Parts: sequence; C-alpha cells; structure tokens
Amino acid sequence: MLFNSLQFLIFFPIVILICFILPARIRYLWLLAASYYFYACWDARYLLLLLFSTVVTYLSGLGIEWCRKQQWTTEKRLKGKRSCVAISVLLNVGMLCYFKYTNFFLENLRAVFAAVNIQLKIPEVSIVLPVGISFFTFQALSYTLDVYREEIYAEKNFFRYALFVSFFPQLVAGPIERSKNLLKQLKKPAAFNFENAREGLLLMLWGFFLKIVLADRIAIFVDTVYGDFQSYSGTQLLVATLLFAIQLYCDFYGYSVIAMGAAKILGYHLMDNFNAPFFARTVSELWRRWHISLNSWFRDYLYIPLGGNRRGIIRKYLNIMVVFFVSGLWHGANWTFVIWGLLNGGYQMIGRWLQPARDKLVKIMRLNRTAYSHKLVQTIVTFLLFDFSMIFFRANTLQESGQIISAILNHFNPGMLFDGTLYTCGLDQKNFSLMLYSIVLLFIIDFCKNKGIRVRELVLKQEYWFRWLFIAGSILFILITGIWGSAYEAANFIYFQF
Amino acid sequence: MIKKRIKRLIPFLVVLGLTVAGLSYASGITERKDSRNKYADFYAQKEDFDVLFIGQSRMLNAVFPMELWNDYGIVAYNLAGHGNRIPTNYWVLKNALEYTTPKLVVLDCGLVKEEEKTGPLEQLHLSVDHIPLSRTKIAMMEDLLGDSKKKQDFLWKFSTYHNRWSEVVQEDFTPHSGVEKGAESRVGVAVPKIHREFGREEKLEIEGVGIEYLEKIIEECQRRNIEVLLTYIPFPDPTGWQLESNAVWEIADKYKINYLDFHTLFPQINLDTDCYDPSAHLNPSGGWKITAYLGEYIQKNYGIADQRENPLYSKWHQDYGTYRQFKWENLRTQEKLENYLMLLYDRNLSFGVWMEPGAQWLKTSTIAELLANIGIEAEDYAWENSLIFVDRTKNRVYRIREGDEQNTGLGKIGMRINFDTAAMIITWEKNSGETDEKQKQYAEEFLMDQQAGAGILVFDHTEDEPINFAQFMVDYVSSERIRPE
Repeated sequence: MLFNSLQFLIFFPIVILICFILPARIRYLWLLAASYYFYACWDARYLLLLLFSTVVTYLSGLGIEWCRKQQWTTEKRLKGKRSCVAISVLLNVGMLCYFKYTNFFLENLRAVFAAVNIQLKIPEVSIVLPVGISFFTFQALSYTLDVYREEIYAEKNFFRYALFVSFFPQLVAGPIERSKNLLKQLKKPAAFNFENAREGLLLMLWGFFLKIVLADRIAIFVDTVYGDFQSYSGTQLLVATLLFAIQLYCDFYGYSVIAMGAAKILGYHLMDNFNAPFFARTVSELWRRWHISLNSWFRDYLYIPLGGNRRGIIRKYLNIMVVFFVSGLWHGANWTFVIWGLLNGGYQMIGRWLQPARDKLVKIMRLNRTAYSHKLVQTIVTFLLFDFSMIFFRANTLQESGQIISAILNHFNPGMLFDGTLYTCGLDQKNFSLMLYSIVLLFIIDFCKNKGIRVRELVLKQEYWFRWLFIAGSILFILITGIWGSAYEAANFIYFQF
Repeated sequence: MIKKRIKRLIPFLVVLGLTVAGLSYASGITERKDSRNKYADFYAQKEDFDVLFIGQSRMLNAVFPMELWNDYGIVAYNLAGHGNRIPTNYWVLKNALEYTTPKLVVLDCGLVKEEEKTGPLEQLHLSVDHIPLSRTKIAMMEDLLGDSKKKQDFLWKFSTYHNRWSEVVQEDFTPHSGVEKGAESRVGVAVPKIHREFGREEKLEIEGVGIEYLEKIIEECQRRNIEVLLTYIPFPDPTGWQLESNAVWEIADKYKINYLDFHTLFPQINLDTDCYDPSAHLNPSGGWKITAYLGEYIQKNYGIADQRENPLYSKWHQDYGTYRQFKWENLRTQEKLENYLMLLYDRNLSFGVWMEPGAQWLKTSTIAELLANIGIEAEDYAWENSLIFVDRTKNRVYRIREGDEQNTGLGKIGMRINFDTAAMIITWEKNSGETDEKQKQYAEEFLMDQQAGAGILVFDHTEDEPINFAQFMVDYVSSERIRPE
C-alpha cells in the first residue's frame, strides 16, 4: 500500500494502537506481522523473496559468528567467514539481478549479436520487478557485512531480525538502515512518547506535503512535457528538466520523511536520508547530502573495500567511477541510468582534477570564497550540473536524451517564460503558481536546515493554540491542494521502481 | 496518571475537531454545485410533493414541474438525471421517499434494456452528490458500484472535488437553487437525419437489471400506496433504441398500471422543431408539449389536486415568478434565430414577427417548420413586408402591413417605415385608457437595423411592457443576433 492512500491512513493508526497496547517484549512480533501485511498488499507472492533474503542473511550472520567461535586457524576462520559472506552476497545480488537485470541483459545480448548480423532467438521473459527489492536486499546485505566486520553481533532472534529487514516504514523505498542503528533499537522498544508522536506527526505532514502537494504536482508538468517531448519547445523542456530534479528530490525525500515520522511515532529513529542537497557547493558534497543511506552504503561496502582513496589517485578515480556505475545501474536497468551515474562520477573526477586550477584562478582573481555571492554561484553551478544529468535519468533512451538536450540548446526562447506558455503543460496558472510557492517554501526550510535550524522544533516551541492551528491548517492544506483522489490516481513514489 | 493522559488527549481531540470542521467546510466549497442546486428545492420543501418524475436525461429535458404548477397546480419535482439507468433511478427514488410521500411516481423507461446499473460515473454524480451520507446512500453505492474503489468518490465527495480549489468562484460560497424544480431545459434546434419508427409488434426481449429494478420500483411504490405511471419519452432515434419501449407493455400489463408510450401515441412532437440534438433529447418546445399532455393526463386519471389556492404551497407562486424570469432571460440571450423561434412556443408569450421580404432563407424547411410551430403558416408570411402578430391571449394571428395598426390583447401594434433611414419600425402602444401624457409612458418604437433579416417583439401576458425586441441577420446557412451598441 502507498503512504498516500486511504488504506495506509487506516492501517497505520491501528498498528500504533495495538503496538502500544501490547507488552514491550512482544511488540516486535506485531510490527513484523504488520510489516509483512504491508508488503503483501503489493503482491503476496513477493513475501517469499523478502523471506528468502531474510533467511539467507540471518543464517549468514549466524554462520559468520559460528566460524569466528571455532577453534580454527586464522586462515580457515577467515575462509569460513568469507564463504558465508559470499553465499549471502551471491544469493541476494543474484536474486536482485535476476528480477532487475535479466531483460536488460537479454536485450543487450540481442543487440550485440544483431550488430554482427546474428539473430538470436531468445524469447521475451516477463519478469515483474518486486517493489523495494533493491532496498531490502541492500539492507539485509549490510547486516551480513557488519557481522563479518565484527561491528555487531549476529542477531539470534530470527523474528527480530526479520523485522529489521522488513520494517514497514522504510521497507520499500528506504532509508536503507544499518543494523547498528535499527536492530539495536528493535531490541529495546521505547514506550509511547507524546513528544515523539508530535514530532513524528510533523515529519509525516512535511513528507506528505513534499510528496502529494509538490512532487506529484511537478510530475504533471514534467510528465506532460517529457511524455511528448517532440511537441514542446526547448524552453518548456528546460523548465521540465529543472523541475524534475526537484520532483525527484521531493518524491524521494517525502517518502523518507514520512518513513522517519512513522517510525518516530512508533518510537524508532531512522536516519535522515537527505540533508539540503541543493545547497551543496560541489557535486561531491551534493552526493554526501543526497540519498545518504544509499551513498553511505556504497561508500562503506563498495568504495572502501575497493581501496577507497588509499591506493593512489588513479585507483581512487576508478573506484569513484565504479561506484557511480553501480549506483546508476542500481537505479534502473537502462543505459540512461548508467550514463547518469557515470556523469556524476565524472563530475567529481573532473572537479578534483581541476581543483588546483580553480585554486589558482581564485588566487589570481582575488575571489573571496567565503562571500555569499561566491557560494551562491557554486550552489547554482552544482545544481545545474546535477540537473543536466537528470535528463538521462528521466528520458527513456539515450537517443531521447540527446534529442532533448539538442532541443534545449537550440530552441530556447526566454520570452516563453513570461507569456503564459508554461501554463499549457498540464498545470493551469494557479497550480503552477502554487508549485512555485511550494518550491520556495521547500528551499526556505532547507536553507534553515543547512544553517542548523530545525523548523519543526521552532513550531513545537510555540504556544499550544498556534501548534493546534498549525497542524490542523497543514492537514487541510495538504488535503485540499494535494494531488490525490479520483481526479489523479494516487501516484506511486518514483523510487518504488528501484 | 489518568488526568495526565486525558490532558494529553485534549490536543489530539482539538486538532481532530478543527481538521474535521475545516474539511467539512472545504468540502462544501469545493464540491461541484450542479447536484446540490438541482435538488436544493426538493430538500427545502417541508410539504409533500404530489408527483415525482424519475428517469434519465430525456425525462430531465422533457418535463417541467413549474409549467405543471402554473397550468394545473400540480406540485411536482423532476428527479431525473443524465444517463440514469433503471437501477440508479430505483435508488434515487428510494432516497427521495425518505423525505416525501408523493401520490404518483412517473418513471420514464428509457434505457431499460441496458445491462449496467449506472451510466458514466461523471453523470452519476449529478444524481448522487446531493444525497446526504446515510445508510440508504451507502446501500445505494454498494449495490450500484459493488467492490469498485470508485465508491469512495461518491461517499466522500471531498476526494473527488478537492482539486477544484483552483476553480472556486463566488457562486461556490453562496450556492443557489435551480429554478426549474429539477428539470433542465436544453436550448437548441437539431433536425435528425434519420429516425426509425416501429410498430408495437416489434420489440426487444429484455431480461436483466433494467426489468428487475423496474419491477422493484413498481413494487416499492405499491407497497407504499403510491401510484405509478410509466412513460417512454420520445426522441429522435436513428438506431432503434425505441424497440425497448415495446417491451415495457408487458410490465405495465403485469402490474396493471398505465403506460404512456409517447413515440407511438404522440404525433404532436415534430422532430424538425422539437429536438435539442439529432439522436437523444427534446428541446423546450418538445418538452412543453410533453409536459402539457402529462399535466392533463395526470389530473384526469390520478385526481391530483390543484394546489394553487393551498396556502401551504404559496411559495410556489413566487418560485414560478422566478422561473418565468429565468425563461425570459434565456430568451433574451439567444443568438440564433432558430433557437429564438423555438422558444416562442411558450404559451405565455405573444409576439410579432417581421421577416425580410422575399428572403430565400424563409423557404428553408427548418425556419418554415419553426414558424409553423409557433402559429405562423406559410401563407402568413407570404404577405410581404408585414408584421405577423401572434396574439395568444385572444388566440388570433394578425397581419399588420406597413403603415397599419391593430388592437391586440397586448396593445396597439403597428408597423411603419422610417423614410430617413429606410428602416422598418414596429410600434407598440398599451391600451391603458389613460390621458395622452400617461399613454406616452406605455408607447415605444422599435427600430430595425438595416441588416436585419428578422425582427421579433415579444410580450409576456402578465407584464406591462414588451420583454424583448430581437433582430437577426439571416442567410441560408446561419443566423446571427444583432446587438445594439
């Protein structure tokens, strides 16, 4: 079920109520049942995959610990532990690859053979991608690797471990939690706390605003233009591209914040998945603020094992490109995602290469790097670079990406920004204006966050009457202006496709 | 501890209360008002209605309760809705019977052969949105939509209409009731190219939800001692829909109730003048004919009392006045001569028509039929350069030549030429018997534009002055209203 659905709005209060009625020691069993029910609402058959991943990684953890305790030689012990990791990784990544990349692989195989005039008769395989598979497999794998690294002890309680893998607020679209954080909390469930509930509610409200007021509204514009890009001008394509980055951010961040809020109400703390990414001043910094759980996963379980930056500059750059290649592929089985990933990796490489030159330029021109104007330019350039890569993320094919870029560069007419043309792309003037105001609000909140100001804490410090009116008003605003209901079928979160 | 918990609960309850109150208000504002406006007068009336009309859009466009009130004193409401299948009509009636107990229910059996329980869901909103959330409404949606998620759209209207926030206008804050007591006049003249006629022996064998719910309606009414009259409103029919009308006779015979199959028994409907579109609906001219027939039939056969002197229904006189003004405003806004002529069928109007001498377009069959429909025959306008005055107060037609005057029931009507501009002028003077000074207040000249192909002066029988003077430029293909600057 989607967070932005009536089903969830009925499901969640029931889960909370029963959760805090039950004794603390069995609360996790209820949450496990609720999580499996949550996932089964998508498709009950895929519960088997969730269970499979859970069992494999659970056993791998036990296996690793068992190997550690044996009176073996160090080498044998290491071999044993590594075998457990290898089995866990192979099975989970294998499952992920099967569901996600089989068709991509077969398509490319056909294309390669067709290029040398060999017609391969490989039948079309209909494989539906289970929702959230990329997330829960990575989360489960992180446990295996954490046990291997002796960062945590293996969890003996299978059901508690199963809850760690399937915890419903973050099951299908993250944040990808670490066992050190979430599993630890599951062992010591907190009692119901009004402050947590209040904060959780505010978080959820903010998440719903991001998702159904902002992201889904922007999606109407973007889908209209990108859906028939040949009929739209370079100006409209440019605006759609700029908006898509914000849409993706709001959609994904919105989900993460709802997940954080839901978990908070239940007494659990999930990591913040985004940290005002569009205020980053370099692409590297942006990637430290964007989808933090995934990027830190790649850093800890791919980049560092590959050597990180400890094996020389060339190896470092290669590692970055490998990580972003994999990250691109993780986002989707299409060369457009790969190009997107490589572009972002390339930005960072080039950024580092050019660092000495940039330093010299700053010195010669006597630029003040601490000036707001300088920071603003850096922020805008970073956003534009990231946004350019979004063309590949959003387009269906590389060819389409090329056509869109060409249209933007060759058919841009600034007059169209002011003559009402933008109101012909799915959003009327009022909806377009609301979208712009909401984006401004988003940037104000993120600006505050960037400065260390938590707006929700400010709200919670106010008088009770203000808080009541604020919350009631926010709920009403979201319900009235949100993109939901029969006029718009409840739009899925973009990251579900991963 | 408990005190603390209660204290903690208060903010939650307050926020919940504020949210619910706000949602309720927002829901009322954003909701589309068509359904509410259509049924407002139905819910506002405390006294029972004597007759309820139910059916689909053909009934909606063809029966005018305000005309029934004015002519026969019948207190009626038109509950028909666009695209309503018989099962939908069953539930519309079921809901209505929670608020009123009529003496007679008139059900139009159009679409009885359809297998679906509802028409297009967009149209279903008109018949459902006004119904307050109740057990009947829930049962209605369960029955009509089954497991469909679309039920939510009807049970919680906010989910359907909240996105109208960007379209809200003043009227959404101050909704008004419709003036036609549920009916809907559709102004237009369309001549069907094909219309198929059937004898009574040809019929469809119909089984299924249409017949099932038709019988349910009859049985429900009979259980409550409410009489039922079945009808089949006529309409231009190129594809043979009317075969279903013959199948209804069996039901009428089975339950021993009257059935008015208009398409076989009612030759007064003229498909050249009375159709709003070429394949489904009547316009007001057709509707007034059906209404008049029904009014007389109902009064004669069902003994429905004339309520015009009943003080309980005194507000209906005021409502009729409002309705009347609505009709005249409708007339005034018409831009096409065909529509204007069609609306002159209204029996409460008398009018003078001048047509351009020798105009070839006069001979088009549509204009000729429309003129005949309002009492102007071909030989009348064969008198060139004349004003033809149809006086319905005296049931006479006057031919007023250039330079002449005639004393009619609405005053002295004349026509002359303005030699400066070579334009025609229609003159009117009320027969007040007052002094010359007073008389001047009731005299007026209506100067016709040189481009005018037709000029029409219209009177309401209850008004002191003409209600409209219209001029049209006309050719073979189209007509266009001339609006003075």
